[in-house]
Amino acid sequence: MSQPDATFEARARQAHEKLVRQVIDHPEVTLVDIGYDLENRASPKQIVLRVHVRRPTTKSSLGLPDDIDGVPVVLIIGDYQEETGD
Amino acid sequence: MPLINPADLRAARRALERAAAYHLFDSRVSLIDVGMRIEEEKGQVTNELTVRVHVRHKPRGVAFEAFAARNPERVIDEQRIGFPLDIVEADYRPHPSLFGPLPARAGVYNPLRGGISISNEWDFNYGTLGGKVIDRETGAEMILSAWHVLAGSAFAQPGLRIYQPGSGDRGQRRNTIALLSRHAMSAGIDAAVAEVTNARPIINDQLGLGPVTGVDSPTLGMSVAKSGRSSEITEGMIDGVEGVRTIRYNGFDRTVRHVVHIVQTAGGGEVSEPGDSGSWWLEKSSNQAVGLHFAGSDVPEYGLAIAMPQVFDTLQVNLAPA
Repeated sequence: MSQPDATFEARARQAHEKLVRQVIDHPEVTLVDIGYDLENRASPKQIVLRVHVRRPTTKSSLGLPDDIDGVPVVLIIGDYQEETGD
Repeated sequence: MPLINPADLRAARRALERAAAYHLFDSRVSLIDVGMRIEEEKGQVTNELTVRVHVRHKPRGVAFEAFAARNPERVIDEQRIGFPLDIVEADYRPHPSLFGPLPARAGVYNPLRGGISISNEWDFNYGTLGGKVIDRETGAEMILSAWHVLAGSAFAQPGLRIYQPGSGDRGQRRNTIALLSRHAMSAGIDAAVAEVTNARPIINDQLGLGPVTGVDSPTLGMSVAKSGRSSEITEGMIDGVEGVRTIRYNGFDRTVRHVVHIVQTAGGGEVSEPGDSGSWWLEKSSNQAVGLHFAGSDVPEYGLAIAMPQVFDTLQVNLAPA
């Protein structure tokens, strides 16, 4: 992870594990990762916790906070399929 | 084939209409039909006539309870349909013609290299030969690709034949180029290796990108490229790391870790297509392998890979020298 502040990185990893435990079994959730906030045009390299979901929804409907230990939580639409062809 | 009572079939058809009225427009439903119950664990067809609702994803256990609590109207209820129900987890896509033109990478390649069509002998499909690796213990030459390309089933055993091109690209038994050795699904990594036979030589080369020079960890902001069977050479940028997701394996949801998320570059263009599973993402300036491609999304255009150092260590292989 390319992040100048090692303390932030450690905090982000811990917060990520908390978030995974909270939402990974939710049927609408397809991935939980650490990455850039794709919607933040003012600060596109800001590192956030990302919950990927199959279709548009709200954080409140998933019971998600705005941040975990100071690391922002955002939603991303992403419905992923294995990529074999047939 | 079992005999079906005509009265039962009429009742099933009426129930099918009800099921369609309730659920056909649910986005998770891929098909509704009348047919014999399919036993979930073994995949065997039974003699019980049912209305079958095929869903793209079937939540189970706690996940189902959460889904049902939030979406009671989307729960497919046997009493409401009035006939035995079977919920089948399946997704369907248009099937290409068996007799239409095939892309260049669907041909027979000699020598073998990364970026070309392969499949196992059981699945009528195609994925991508990722690249050449060496068994750390025996020194044997192997190909490394996605588990769902080389094995695709919890019942796949070592020795399963690997075809180049894949069977979905008209590959046959005489196109066997490797035998399945082992996989990493037990560690939550969608990857496998197969030992090459002597049918054709294999080289460390990615079609259109050149040899792979090493293995490195994926990092945020890294520019990457891959050589895949379907989308050929594509580029992207890593915008997410340490991803965790669940996939269905052997009847259970399994957690996959070390997932890398890849987005389009500023210039746009595709990241991946069906058939690219198993291809290797390389850091663009160094040609070091950083990810094993295993899934994608069309809208928006994203790719998913597994961090390559974890793949190599779990499978106990090294990159073959160029």
